[in-house]
Amino acid sequence: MTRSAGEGQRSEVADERQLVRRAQSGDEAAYEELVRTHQHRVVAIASRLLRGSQEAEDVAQQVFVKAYFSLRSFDLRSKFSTWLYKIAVNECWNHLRKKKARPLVYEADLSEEQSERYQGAAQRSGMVDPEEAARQQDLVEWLLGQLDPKDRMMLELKEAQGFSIDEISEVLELNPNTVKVRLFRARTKLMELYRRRLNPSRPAAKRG
Amino acid sequence: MFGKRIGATACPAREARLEDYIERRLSADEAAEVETHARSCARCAAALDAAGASVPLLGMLRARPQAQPSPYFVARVMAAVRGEQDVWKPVERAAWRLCWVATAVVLILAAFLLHLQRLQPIPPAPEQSQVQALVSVSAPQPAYQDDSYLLVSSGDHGR
Ligand SMILES: [Zn+2]
Repeated sequence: MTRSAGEGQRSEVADERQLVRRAQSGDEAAYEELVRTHQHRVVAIASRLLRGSQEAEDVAQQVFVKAYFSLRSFDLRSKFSTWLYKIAVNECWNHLRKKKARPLVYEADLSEEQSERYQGAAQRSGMVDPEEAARQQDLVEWLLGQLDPKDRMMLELKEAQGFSIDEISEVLELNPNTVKVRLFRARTKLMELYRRRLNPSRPAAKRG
Repeated sequence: MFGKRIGATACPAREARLEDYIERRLSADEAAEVETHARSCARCAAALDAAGASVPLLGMLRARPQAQPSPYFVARVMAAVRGEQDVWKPVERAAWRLCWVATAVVLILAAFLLHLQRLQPIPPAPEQSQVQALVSVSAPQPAYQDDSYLLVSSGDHGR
């Protein structure tokens, strides 16, 4: 028997809803299945938002434990994954606030030499060399680290985790228009930092 | 694209629309409207230029390998879930046990009492049989009246 993509998706949603309902009534095996399905995404989000911290996996585990104990508050009409990501983002946010005193890896200042390397990396177009690609990625990480943490998280959810505007708006409890405005501003801020980092002596560099 | 300097802020009322533009969420007509405005507004043009350039730059994040959960992730979550429940489980179990014991005691007691009530006790002593006889003889039955009278009187006599 073959099913269309839409049908398949719908039955997947129905299956998941069934699992959630079972988990809500205390079926541990059902919850285990939900953890198995969503673990990769939640770990990836935590690792992304916590900037590759070793504690990301612990935080991700805490997300699932918290979710388990608040399962009853989950409304079966909404999407389980979005609800879970919301808990994940909140946990990461709280974790970051607690760890605020400790400087994060990417937030350390660039040395002159690093800056030179990044400049080269950013200016050469077309990523051929994986080493160079890694350098460009490091530059992006460094730039993100300079942003306000909320702006950074929003950009990361959008660009690294592929969240839609609607998902971000649900997870961060902001209206979609606000999400767009903040994303746009974060982008221009990021590029201003980029320009300043690469051309510190030219305050109004010409582009294009 | 618009060849202006970066770092400027766009017209506040247009920012959401500009984000839609760089993310290619607009129809051709809507995109054309944005471009027309940007040609006459240096601030929007500069912001668009900058934000647009961020798209390929940030796109590099997607090329990064995603962190993977450890093989024990699910097991550890479930252990934590059970562990937190276990704080209350002994209390719950003890409460249930107490419930069962209490129910059992009540049932045994009830059965015992019922049993006692059903059994006509074998008179162990004359005094008790006299009382029994008095109680059972409530209706005036001439045939037994004398007997009971005799019994009672003999009992009285015995004392
Ligand atoms: Zn404008």
